[in-house]
Amino acid sequence: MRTIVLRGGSHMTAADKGQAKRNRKGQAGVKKKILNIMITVLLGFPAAVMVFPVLFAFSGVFMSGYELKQYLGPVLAGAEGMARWPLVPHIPTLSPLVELLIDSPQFFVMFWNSVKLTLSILAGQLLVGVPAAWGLARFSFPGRKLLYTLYLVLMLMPFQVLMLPQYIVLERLSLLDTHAGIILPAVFSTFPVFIMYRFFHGIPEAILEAARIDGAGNLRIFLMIGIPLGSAGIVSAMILGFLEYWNMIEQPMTYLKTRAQWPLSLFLPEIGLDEAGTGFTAAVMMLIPALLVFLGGQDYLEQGIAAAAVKE
Amino acid sequence: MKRGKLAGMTGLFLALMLLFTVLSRAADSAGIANVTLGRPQNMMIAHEVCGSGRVEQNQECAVVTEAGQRVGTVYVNEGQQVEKGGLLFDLDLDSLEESILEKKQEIQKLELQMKDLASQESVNEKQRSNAQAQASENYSLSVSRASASLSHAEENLRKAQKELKEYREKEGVSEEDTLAEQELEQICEECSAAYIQAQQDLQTLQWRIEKAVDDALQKNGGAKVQNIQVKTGSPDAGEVFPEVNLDTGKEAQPDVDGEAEQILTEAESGLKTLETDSLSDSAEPAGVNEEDENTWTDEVLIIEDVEVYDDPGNSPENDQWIPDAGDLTGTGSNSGADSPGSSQWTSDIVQDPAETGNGSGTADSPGNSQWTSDAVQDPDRIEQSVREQYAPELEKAEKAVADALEKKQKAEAALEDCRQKMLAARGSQNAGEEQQLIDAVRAAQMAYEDAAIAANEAAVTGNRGVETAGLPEAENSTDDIYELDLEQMKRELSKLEDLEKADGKVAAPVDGIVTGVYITAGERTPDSTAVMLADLTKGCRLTAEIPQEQEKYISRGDLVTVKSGDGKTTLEEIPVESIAAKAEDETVRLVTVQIPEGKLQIGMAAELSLTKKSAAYPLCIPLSALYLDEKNQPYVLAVQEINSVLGTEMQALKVAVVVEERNDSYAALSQGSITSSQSVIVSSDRAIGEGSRVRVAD
Repeated sequence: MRTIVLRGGSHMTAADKGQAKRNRKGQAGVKKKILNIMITVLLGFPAAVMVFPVLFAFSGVFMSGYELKQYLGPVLAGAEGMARWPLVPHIPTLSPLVELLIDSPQFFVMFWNSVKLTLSILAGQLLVGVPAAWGLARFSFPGRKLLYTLYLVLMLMPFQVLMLPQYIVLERLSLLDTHAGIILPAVFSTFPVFIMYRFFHGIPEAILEAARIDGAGNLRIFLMIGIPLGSAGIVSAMILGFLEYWNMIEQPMTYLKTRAQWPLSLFLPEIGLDEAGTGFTAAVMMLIPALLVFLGGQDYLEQGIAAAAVKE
Repeated sequence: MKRGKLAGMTGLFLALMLLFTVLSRAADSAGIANVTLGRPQNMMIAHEVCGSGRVEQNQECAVVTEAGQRVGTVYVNEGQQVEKGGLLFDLDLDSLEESILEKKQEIQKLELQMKDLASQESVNEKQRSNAQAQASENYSLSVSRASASLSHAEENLRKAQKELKEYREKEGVSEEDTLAEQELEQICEECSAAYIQAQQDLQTLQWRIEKAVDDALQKNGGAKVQNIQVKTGSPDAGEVFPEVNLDTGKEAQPDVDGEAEQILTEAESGLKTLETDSLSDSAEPAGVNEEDENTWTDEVLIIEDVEVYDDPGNSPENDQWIPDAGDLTGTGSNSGADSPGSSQWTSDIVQDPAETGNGSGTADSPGNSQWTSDAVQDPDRIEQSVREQYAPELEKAEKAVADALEKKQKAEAALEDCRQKMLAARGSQNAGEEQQLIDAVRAAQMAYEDAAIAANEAAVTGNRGVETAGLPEAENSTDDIYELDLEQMKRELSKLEDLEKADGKVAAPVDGIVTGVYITAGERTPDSTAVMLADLTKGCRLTAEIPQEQEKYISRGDLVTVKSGDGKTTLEEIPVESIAAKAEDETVRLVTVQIPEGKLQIGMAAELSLTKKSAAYPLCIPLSALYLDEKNQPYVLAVQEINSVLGTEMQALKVAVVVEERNDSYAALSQGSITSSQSVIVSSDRAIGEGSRVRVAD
């Protein structure tokens, strides 16, 4: 949940900044400046509210177990009073960090599980989704529209609807309780196809015509012209995919029984008040890859989101 | 931010993660306990009972010699083994000879003393018999004298009466005229007799009170001594009290009461008679006959009976009394009035002891003890209380005397009045002469009364004298005691002489080991043990201590193995003789076995062991596999596979079990909780509990 909020927060922050940039680009009048400041203040407040959970997690990393119990006791342990949360711990300590990094091999098992699942899904989506999107965008064949509509419908379906059919299928294929059972359905997800479709569709027909005239075949056009020109769409689909699958929680919870297979997203629900410090540390650790990916592919992400917003 | 830099950071992050993965894995595996597993086995539980102790003698033999002898040489030391007849120590011969001589002299002295005593006894015996004869003589003398004067007074009375009668006849006074006077005279005589009787009762009572007071005082003075004195009939007690009442304390009381009651009854009956007589005075003047005198004598004798009755302790003396009484009878026969009474007296005396026997039989300790407990009273108070007890009786008796006197005086006055009237009626000129005669009769009557009272007193007093003289003498056992002393001395002498014959050497009576020497050369021998020997002929035993919890595995008759402390001797199959708790330590039990003769030495340390095997149990685990939880309930740790985040791991699982039997290394479990195919953790390289992750070693 927290990570979902975080994503929302990041989104808003990005939007905020984008608007500010655009304002700057507009003109440099005094009135505009005052307006800018007002807007910044106005939007800064909700932005701070959105960012608070992240700060919450960061300060928790340096808090001792005793302090955590004092502050969170009323919520988590039924103690009297109201929960409080100071952003700066009274007695800063690194013990939760040390505990997580040295004394919790489980965390690393889950971390690497998450890495494995996410990378496998993304690789699969590259292999399957990119050609599918190219085909839908660039070839005309009977039933193409119907297929595209089917893709859209499937994309809009929430996991809860697909859970049972997926479970039955996975069980028939003996893929329950395996990573493949998580990876394969995700590989054939329709969302990245939809994102990439928008980008491939935007490539001008003239370029492709020229290539054909130069004697390029369909495969050559796809690899030499389609992928480089649609790379922004591919990357943004991958970044969106990464953020989704890094944080996915329902699928592993439903299909994985063996704890050793669990991804990191299931580590946090295991944490109680006694290990609240470890929980905060783990949350921060989990945030780092997402943050890195976000920072690396910010532009593409924005483009991808914009693309997803426009429907045909 | 540059993409390349971001990629570097991501790479660095992943590298760090990889590093910490390895580190945390290493740290985790270091914390996992390495355990070995084992399966429950079918086996028997052997219980090893083991205890150590020292070999002790079964019996000790104390060597004792005559006390007070100087020890010459002591030949043995503690722990030394001696044979039967072996020399233990010797006594200084000079000192021995001295003792013998001394003993001989003592014996001689004692013999002389005995001789003196014998002659003294014979002299005493003679003196006693003399005193008794004297008392008897005095008694009979005073009684005969008193009865003589009594009969004399009676004779005078009869004479005066006769003279008066003759005078009247001569004067021609008809029988009819004097009939009334005669009746009055008769009444007068009766009143006089009653008065005498009352007077005598009073005397007896007074004397009894005095005696009771003296008795009480004496008992209070020394209750214990008193008891002895009373029993042995101490002459002192006899001297003071003519009638020694051997009933002691409270017991005396009912008797005295009884007597007093009897006296009182008699006094009352006398009074009654008097009253009825005086009532019938005018109505039936002819009712009184001559037997009155006899009745009077009887009364006196009854009093005598009472006195004898008091005297249970004197029963042997009663035999002596008979001749005395016979004497009395002889002397008393002078008087015609006395003779029937005297004979009755004798028979009464003979009868009395039988009656008395009952009285004395009950006169026993309960009364004594009660008396003793009261004994610390002030003498004045005691006297007062005794007197108070008797006060009502005394008062009654005194009143009876006064009443009797009054009646007598009235009767006399009536008689006098009657006579005066008669005289006046006749108006004779000889009235003066007749008056003289009447006065003479009256004087004779009074003299007679006095004599009767005096005779009673003489009888009582004389009786006391005889009793005192007849008291048995205190038992004298000095002679017997001397004899016993003599015997003992002779025995001691013979022992000393035996010692001397053996040159003062004292030998061991049995084969044994010296466990204690209580004499020192040059010192005197003690009264108690001189040398203590452990009797080898009676064998020896091993008493080993075992912990209380092992007690249930060993019982009487079990065959145990005994091993000497040095390990050289091992005795198999020795039966357990006894198992007992150690007095000073409740947690220790003492197991005793008899050691066969000659196998182990007394004083040796030895060990006793017994292995007792149980029935076969299908589920036996090493004790290291058994744990106790906080409630002291036993459990074992089985191993189960768990799917953890780290993969398949082994985890310890608590399984509660019931221990049926256990020894130092194995425990037998009851079936149900685990099966023989289930592995349990039998060892671990670190402390583990329920839920601990473990790694099973190959």
